[in-house]
Amino acid sequence: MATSRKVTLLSSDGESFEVEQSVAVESITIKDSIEEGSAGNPIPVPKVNSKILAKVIEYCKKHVESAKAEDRVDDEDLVAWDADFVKVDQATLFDLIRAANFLNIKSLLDLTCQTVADMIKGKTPEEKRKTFTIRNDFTPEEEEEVRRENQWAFE
Amino acid sequence: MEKSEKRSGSGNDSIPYLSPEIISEILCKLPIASVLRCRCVCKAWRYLTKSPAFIEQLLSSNVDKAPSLLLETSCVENESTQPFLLVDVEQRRVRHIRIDPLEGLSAMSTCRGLVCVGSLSSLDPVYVFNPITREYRRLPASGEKDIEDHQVGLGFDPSTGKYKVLRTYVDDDEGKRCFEVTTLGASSWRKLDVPDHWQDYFVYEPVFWNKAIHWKASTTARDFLLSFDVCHEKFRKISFPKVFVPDLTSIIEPTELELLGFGGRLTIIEHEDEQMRLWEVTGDKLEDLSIWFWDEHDTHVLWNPYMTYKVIGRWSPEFYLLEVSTCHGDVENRRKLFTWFLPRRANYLPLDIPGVPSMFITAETFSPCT
Repeated sequence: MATSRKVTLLSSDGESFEVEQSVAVESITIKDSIEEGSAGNPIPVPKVNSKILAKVIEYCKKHVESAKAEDRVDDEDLVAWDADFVKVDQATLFDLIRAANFLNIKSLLDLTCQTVADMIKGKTPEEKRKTFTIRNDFTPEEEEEVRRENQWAFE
Repeated sequence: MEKSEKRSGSGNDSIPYLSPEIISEILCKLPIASVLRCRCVCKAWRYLTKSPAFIEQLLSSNVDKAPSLLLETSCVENESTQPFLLVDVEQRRVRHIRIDPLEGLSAMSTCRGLVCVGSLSSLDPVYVFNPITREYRRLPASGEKDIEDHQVGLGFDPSTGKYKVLRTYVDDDEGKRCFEVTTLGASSWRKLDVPDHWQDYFVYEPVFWNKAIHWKASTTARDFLLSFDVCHEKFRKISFPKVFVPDLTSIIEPTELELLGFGGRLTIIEHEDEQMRLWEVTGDKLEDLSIWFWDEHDTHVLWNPYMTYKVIGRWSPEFYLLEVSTCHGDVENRRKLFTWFLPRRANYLPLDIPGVPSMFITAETFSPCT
């Protein structure tokens, strides 16, 4: 049984986080760089600021701990914990998605993307545009055409 | 790797930019109607959601989503009843699918959001269609023949990206069961050579799973799984485990043994009095497939010829969706309804969806795709 090895992660805004290696390698990106021997010490995590990195670490810690406990009851608890974890403002949620994507943490990416999907599920195209701050680049004729093509979804 | 940390949007600088790759991850988790509405958001999203890569992502994530039900209604009941209904269980709503050339045909199998329809007593016509986009394609004609028990299975070969269709029927003139296959886009069917003794097989509805089309088949002596590898066009018979085979003198009714392709698994459901027994088919390649006992539930109901059930889907170990068929007086008076079965709590919860008729021919889970 390996002794708990610790690694230090450095956020984009210069803050250090010491974590167990078992937690850090929930991120495939970090895992790969450790295995390839290319990870520095501390391991720099560009693009992810301290606020988000702290949350990501919290997520990974919880999931690593849960995997060790084999009690089935914990599964439901974990689902509830996850649901609470993503109760954040939209900007933070999007930042978490980007971090999960960059750090390649599949379960966190799935969780956060599913949260956003659930958020926009029933929304109209205009409401979706607001959520993602997207400009409507269809001409009125084009918009009419696309609507007609996908009429089924508006019934 | 992202090239730049663009912050998008005028007047809302705090919302971070999400790359197309991430947008795909989000959109593929949406139910199909939402995905279609996303096409109207902007040109980039319209293009993204039509791309083959996105559609593959959508199909993969369909496994985790609640599927819909495809109902085939009995046209006899009501002249204006649409032949096919797409039932959204989650939203509790029903959509009517009417495509004229498909009138009078039966839904025979589904695969990746496509449905294959044909007739039980005639080789032509056979169509493959998508209930969402309403696109349909007719399969090659086979000409007039007196046949019975026509079953058509739709499958997909990932190595070529093509769909193949396997059919079987009993040729009345020659008195034997035939198997034929065609690739979607080809101009004719190809006959498959099968051992002579296969002529006596009874074959029931096909299910596509893991690159093969599976049929529950039986002889007068026993039941087994007949699997057809879509890519290599090879058959394999898989026996049910010894524990399974009851008293050899009795014939198991089709309703007592079902094949269910649901949630990415192939399950065989055995009905024995109040017991519901689940067997799972495991293995990656055709040669490795085997059947294992998985679970057993007491349904606490004494099913009988007047009240039978069929498992439509297993939403989780907690929730099964059953189609219960009851007979009032005579066979003409059959009614069907849906109910949730919660094995852990030994509980039933009726599922009432407005618009679902009380009588329909078949229902199966269906994961729509565009």
